[in-house]
Amino acid sequence: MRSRKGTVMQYAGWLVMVLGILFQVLVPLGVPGRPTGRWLGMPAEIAALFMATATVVIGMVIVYLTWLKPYAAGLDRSMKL
Amino acid sequence: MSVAQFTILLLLVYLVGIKCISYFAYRISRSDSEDYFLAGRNIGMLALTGTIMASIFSTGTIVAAPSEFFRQGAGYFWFFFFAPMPVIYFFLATKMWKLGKVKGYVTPGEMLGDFFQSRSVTFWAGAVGLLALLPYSVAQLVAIGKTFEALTDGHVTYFWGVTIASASIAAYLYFGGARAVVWTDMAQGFLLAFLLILAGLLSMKWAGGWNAMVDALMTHAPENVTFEGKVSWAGYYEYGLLTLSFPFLPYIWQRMYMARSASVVAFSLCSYPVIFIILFFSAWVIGTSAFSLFPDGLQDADTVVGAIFRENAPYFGAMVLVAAFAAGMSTVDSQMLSAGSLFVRDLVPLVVTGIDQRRNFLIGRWATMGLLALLYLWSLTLQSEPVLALIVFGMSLTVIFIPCVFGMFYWKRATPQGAAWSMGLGLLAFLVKQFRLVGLDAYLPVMGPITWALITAALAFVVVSLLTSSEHVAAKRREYDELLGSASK
Repeated sequence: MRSRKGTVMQYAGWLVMVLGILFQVLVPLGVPGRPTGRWLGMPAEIAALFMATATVVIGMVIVYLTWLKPYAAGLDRSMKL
Repeated sequence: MSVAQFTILLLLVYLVGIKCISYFAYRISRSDSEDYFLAGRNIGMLALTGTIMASIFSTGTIVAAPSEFFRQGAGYFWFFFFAPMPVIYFFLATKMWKLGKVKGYVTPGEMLGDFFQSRSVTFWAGAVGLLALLPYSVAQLVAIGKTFEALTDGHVTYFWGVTIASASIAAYLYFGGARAVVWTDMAQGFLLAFLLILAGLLSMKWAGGWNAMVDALMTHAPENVTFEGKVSWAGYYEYGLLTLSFPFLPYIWQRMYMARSASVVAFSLCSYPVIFIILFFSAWVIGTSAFSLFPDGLQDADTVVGAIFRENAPYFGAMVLVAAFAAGMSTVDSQMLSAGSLFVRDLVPLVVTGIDQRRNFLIGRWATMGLLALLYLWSLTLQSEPVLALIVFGMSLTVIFIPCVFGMFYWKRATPQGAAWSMGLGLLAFLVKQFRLVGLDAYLPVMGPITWALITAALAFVVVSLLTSSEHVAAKRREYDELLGSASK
């Protein structure tokens, strides 16, 4: 039985992932504007894309921990592994 | 000892090492096709992550990516679209693993053909898979030949580079099969990652540290730090689809069958984007450091890695370039093994029936050797050809599988006729647009071949499935639901 907290975290993970992918597309197209100077010591636009990509990865890790990993463990149990 | 001689020595040590690993793999191999193509479905977490890494990252990751970051800067950042690539497999991979384990599938075509109870579906899956793999593999072989020639300063020519690489791959594929591929991939994958990260750190140090490196980039190439004028909606759309298509390449799909457990599959999917970001960040650092190290520019921007290490640490540079060569080999071997399995498991049974396990294994082994020989001869004709188009062709084609695979798991109205027409018409649309066949591409305007292939495949799948029905598929779906549903209990 899935806990309510786990389900909420899973949806949060999907949301973070979708936002990251969206920003991966929008940042290079300049939709949120074109920042200049440096962010985190990197050229700002490149840093923004790295952050967008990192956001996707964080979302993927959350979904992995809250949904994919338990689901895979269930499949393994069903195979008696 | 000169750097070229040291490089040749390293290559020899590497090839002998690979031979030893394949010998040990051979010692514990069984003579059946499941063991030959899927290493007995017993690959653990580290090995699966290593082999996926080595199969995806190729010579281009080490040699081309730093050069492209140096030349195009932000313009090459579309590549980061590939980081979330495994997301699409979150919905499929563990299911594929379980069905593969229970039903004994070796190829994508076997799973699709069995679910849809259709030999046409198996045929189209095998044919599309082979059409995708062969150009992609030959492009890798050409890249290996060129790298070989470059890293030995022409002491070993393109011809001998391709010949040595093909012979070496043939030797360990013949004896060790998938187990040799996975073991050598694991060693190559982790070595590649370690050397690339170390190369990034060293390049940054030689460039005077992080701040000096970024300063040089922003001073010497301000156009490289902005995306303005470098990307468009249409271009991003096509690249986005490419990242959906790539995981359906048969050799990536078959990695899901190889795993020991579903947890292993899930972990490798999650670890891939993390590794991806670290490696490509290292490649960006190497490319960017070239602005500090070569303020007057480089004559040949294609050889950034070679130029940086020739100046600063030539012997370590030889190791990095040998790792690049190894990365190329580890991609070709996986693709060849996969191509051999598609030929013997999907296509041969359509013509010859009643082949027992032992003969299937022998035919598979020789089919793999035959395809490698074919590829070798093809690569000899491509020495002066650009190979990027072949790579993109191979990576794009498997977008055709997407409607069928999702339909199989998630759409109750899917039918075998819908699946077969989807793959057949999707392939036709792709070829018409890609090769402008008899002027018909005029009817497929604006978007590229990958988009048209996906639209055609999805439309054909939905329309034909709605017009037909299948009792066999309904029964299969109940069986699959029962198999997969038990996980949630």
